[in-house]
Amino acid sequence: MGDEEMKIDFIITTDRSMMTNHHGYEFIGFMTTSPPIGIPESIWNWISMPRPKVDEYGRPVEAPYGLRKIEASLQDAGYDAYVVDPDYIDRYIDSSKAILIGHHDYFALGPPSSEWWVITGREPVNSRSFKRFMNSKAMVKARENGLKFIVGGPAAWQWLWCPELIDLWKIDAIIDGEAEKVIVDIADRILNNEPLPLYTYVGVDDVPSIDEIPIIKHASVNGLVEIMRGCPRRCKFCSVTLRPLRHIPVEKIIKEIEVNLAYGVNGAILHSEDVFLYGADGIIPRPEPILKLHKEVMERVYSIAWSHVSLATIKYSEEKYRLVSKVMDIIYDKQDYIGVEVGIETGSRKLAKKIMPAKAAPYNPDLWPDIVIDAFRIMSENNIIPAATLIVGLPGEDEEDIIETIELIERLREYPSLIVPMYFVPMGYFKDRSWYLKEKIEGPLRELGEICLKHDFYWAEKILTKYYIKTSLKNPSSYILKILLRLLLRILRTMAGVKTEAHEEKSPRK
Amino acid sequence: MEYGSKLVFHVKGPDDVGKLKSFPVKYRAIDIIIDNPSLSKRDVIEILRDYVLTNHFRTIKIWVMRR
Repeated sequence: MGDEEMKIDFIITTDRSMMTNHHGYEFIGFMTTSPPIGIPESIWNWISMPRPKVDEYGRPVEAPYGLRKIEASLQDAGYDAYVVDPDYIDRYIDSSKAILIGHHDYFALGPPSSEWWVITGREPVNSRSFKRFMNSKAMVKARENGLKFIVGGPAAWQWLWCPELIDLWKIDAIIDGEAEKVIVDIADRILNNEPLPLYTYVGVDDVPSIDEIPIIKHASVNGLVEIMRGCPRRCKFCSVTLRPLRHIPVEKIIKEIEVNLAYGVNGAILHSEDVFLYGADGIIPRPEPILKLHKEVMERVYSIAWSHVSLATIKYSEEKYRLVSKVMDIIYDKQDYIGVEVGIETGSRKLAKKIMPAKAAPYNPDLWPDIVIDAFRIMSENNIIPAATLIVGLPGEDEEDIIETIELIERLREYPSLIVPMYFVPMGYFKDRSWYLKEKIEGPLRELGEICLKHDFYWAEKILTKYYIKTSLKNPSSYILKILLRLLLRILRTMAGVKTEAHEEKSPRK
Repeated sequence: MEYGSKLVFHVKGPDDVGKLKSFPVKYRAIDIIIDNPSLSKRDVIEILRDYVLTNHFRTIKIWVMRR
C-alpha cells in the first residue's frame, strides 16, 4: 500500500521533545525540561530527543503512551485515527479532519521545567520545540485548510495560562483529564460538523472504568504500560490523587506488553504512582498481586523499570513481607539494578503532616524522615536506584523546615541516588516573567540546593557508567551517548563550581 | 436552568461567574454556555479560569456560541 492510500481523518501527534524514545533511556527525557547548558542546543537535542524510527506512512514505531490510548479509543470506535510523527504530518493535511495533540509540558510551566526556567532565565527546550512545531509549515497549512485542533494530555491545564495562544493557533478544543471516553464524542462532532466545547474538564463520572480503558494498538515509548491509575494518598500538591483509583488487571497489562514486543520494544516500564501498591488493600501492600505481576512481566521482557514507588510502601513491604527482596530476586535474572522515581518532598515533620499526611501511611507522619532513611537503605541493599524529588518554597514553609530537609539529605549521602529540589513556582510569576526565584534562592534554600548538587554530581557519574548506559557493539550510538553524557556532567560540575567529597558508600546486594 | 443532573448555565460576562459559583455541588456535570459573541476565546478562558481550576470534581464543558 502506498502513502497516498493511507486514510487518516484524525492525526494524533506532538512535537519532537515528546515524539522520541530518548535513545531508549527514559531518564534522559528529563533533559528536555531544561534549556541547553554548557553545550549547543543541537547537541543537547540530539542527546535528549532523537527522531524515532517510523514506518512507510510516517507512523512512529514507538509513541507516547497517552497518544497511543487516544489512538486506540478512536480506532475501537471505528475512526481512521493514527499517531503520526510531526515530520510526516504534511502528507495528510489535505485529507484529514483534525489534528489531536498531547503533551506533558506544552509551555514548560510544570516541574521541573518551570524550575530550570526561573533559575537560568532561559526557556527550556520542550517549550521551544513545541512552539517550533506549532509554527511549522505543516501546521500553518493545517490552519489554512480549516482542520480542527484538539489539545490535551497531562499539561492541558497550561493552555488556561496561555489563552492568547488559543486564539493565535486556532485551538478548537482543550481536554483536561482522562480523555478516552470524551474524545469519541469530540471526533463524532468533528465529522458531523457540530460545535465543539472549547474546554472540557473530565470529571469523575466521565473517566473510563477499567473495562473502558482501551489496550494500545501500537508500541509505546520504551515499553511504558500503566498498571494503575489514581493514588490513594491524597497529597495536597498532586492532581493524580483527584482521579478514581483503578488497578489494571495483569492480563490486560500483559496484552499491552505483547503489543510492544511485537514491535521490537523488549523492555517494560511499569507506570503507577506507587508500583508496590499494585493490587493493594488501600495503602497496605499485598504480596501476591505484586509478585504475580513481576513474574508474568519478567517471563516476557528483557528489562524492566518502574515509574514511581512511595517510600513508606517500600519500608512496609520489606519489613513486613521481605517483598522488595522477593521482587528483586525475580528481576535479577535479567538485570542488575532498577531505577525509579520517589518523592521525599520534605524533611520537615510539620510540613509532612500539613501537605501530605498520608504519604507516610501506614506509619505516623511524625516518623517521615526515618521512613525516608529506612526506604533508601532498603533500596540501596537491593540495587534500586531512586531519583528523588523535594518540593521547596511552598507557602508556609519556614527556615526550620528547610534546615530539617538539609539534615535529611545529609543523612542520605551514602545511598546511590539522585535528589532534585523542585522549587514551588506560583503561576503568577510566569505572567510577568519576573525571575523571582533566581534572586530568592539564598540562605538555607541555597545551601539545600548546593547539598543536592554535591550529592548528585557525586553519584551521577557512578550511576551513569556502572548501571545506566550499557555500551554495546550492537548499538554504536551508546558509546557516543556515554561519552557525551560524561562530558556534559563534567561541564556542568565545573560551571556549578561543585567539588564532590568521598562518601562512605553502602555495599549493594551481590 | 437545570436538566436532570446537569446544570446548563449561560454566561455573558464576568459578573455571571459569581452567580455560577453560588450553585450547590449537586450536579454531575456543568455546561457553561458563553452567550456573548464579542468575547474572544482568550476572554472566555480568562473569565472562567479560576472557576474551572477550583472545581476539579465534576465534568465542566465550556461552549462558545457563535452566530
